Amino acid sequence: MAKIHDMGGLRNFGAIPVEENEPVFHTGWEARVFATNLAISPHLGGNVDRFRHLIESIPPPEYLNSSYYERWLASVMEACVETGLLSEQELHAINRGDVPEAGPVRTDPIPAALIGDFLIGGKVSPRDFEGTAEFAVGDRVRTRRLQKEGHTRMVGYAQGCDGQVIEDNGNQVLPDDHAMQRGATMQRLYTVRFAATELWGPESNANDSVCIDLWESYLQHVE
Amino acid sequence: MSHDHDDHHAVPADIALRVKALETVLTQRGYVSTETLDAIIDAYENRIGPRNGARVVARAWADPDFKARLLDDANPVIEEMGLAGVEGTDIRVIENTPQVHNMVVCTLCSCYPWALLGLPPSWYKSFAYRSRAVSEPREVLKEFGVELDRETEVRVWDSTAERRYLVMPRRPEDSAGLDESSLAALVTRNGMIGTALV
Repeated sequence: MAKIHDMGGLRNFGAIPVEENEPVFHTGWEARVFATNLAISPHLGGNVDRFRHLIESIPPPEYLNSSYYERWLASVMEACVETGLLSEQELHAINRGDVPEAGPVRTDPIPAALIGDFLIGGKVSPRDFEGTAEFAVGDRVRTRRLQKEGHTRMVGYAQGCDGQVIEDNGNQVLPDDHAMQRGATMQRLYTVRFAATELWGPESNANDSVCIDLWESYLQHVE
Repeated sequence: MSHDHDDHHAVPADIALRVKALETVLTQRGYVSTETLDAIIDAYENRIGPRNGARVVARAWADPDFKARLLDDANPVIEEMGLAGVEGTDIRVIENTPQVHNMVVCTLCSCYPWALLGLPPSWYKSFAYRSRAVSEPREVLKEFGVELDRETEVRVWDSTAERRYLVMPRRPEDSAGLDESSLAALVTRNGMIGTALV
């Protein structure tokens, strides 16, 4: 079944906790975790799907009891170990708050100026409509049940549900493969609109809907 | 993640210490530099925030041709305005109308159009919002002080891919004659997420 991060439709999380005049970062360490993640990302393969998968692999009790940037810290530390930037022993040292012994030094940190350009004022992603699309705008589709071990963006709450394709977004990297280090498979991405009553039952408002971006392999035709 | 469980005797240090240790080792080994981290933090604290998105919405309110281009394909427009960037390289702008109210969530993590709105507020990242926005959006909207009639469609967008959604709120009726910068001042962050009217 779904993992804990797949939260759409879960009950009992209570009221939305709105904080007035919230700062961008609440503490200095949140800012440093955020910035470290962005700056180190090119050295970790720049794979956002892997980053998400590592967060989703945090055991549920820990996931629920940690904050957003605590989960980011766990993910980046894990990624540093699996890419060989840090050893297991060094990870343990860091967890004790100790700086590991000196190691090999790179001479090519990414310059600050380059990072500034990369954050804003850059290019949008190119469109890619190569190949044929299995589904067309207006098609009725049914989502597949994907009960797998790895990573997927097929949200649990919409599995096995019928909807309608409202947009063909061209080919995009399939997270299910990319997150598991199986390469950057390109696959059609569609936006699919589901009636709220289809997802949540007859007590929902019949006018309401949820739109979800879904890859081709998540979908099947409805006769 | 198994590491913490492999090492039963280790009591994790305070998180600020752990973060400092990680930053220190990555800096010493030349993977990142302190200046780079400072530049990233400065960008999101001072330059990349909801005023970016507000400029886009205000221009669309003021200029029907711009609005038509933006709704047709926001990407070239956003790039021309210098507002494409990390978590904002594939943007779709969705327009609120008398018939449809749009609202954005990411149930799986907390995807958000950073380049246009800055980093998300805590409530957007909360388990409560992530779990409830798709299943009971009208209750969530009520908590934000928004009550819509039953005939208006509430359309929730779950950001499951790399597309990032920006809601274009309805232009206030009493805003006739205002120039773009005055219009931009009316546009709120929550209005562009869809949890507020403007």
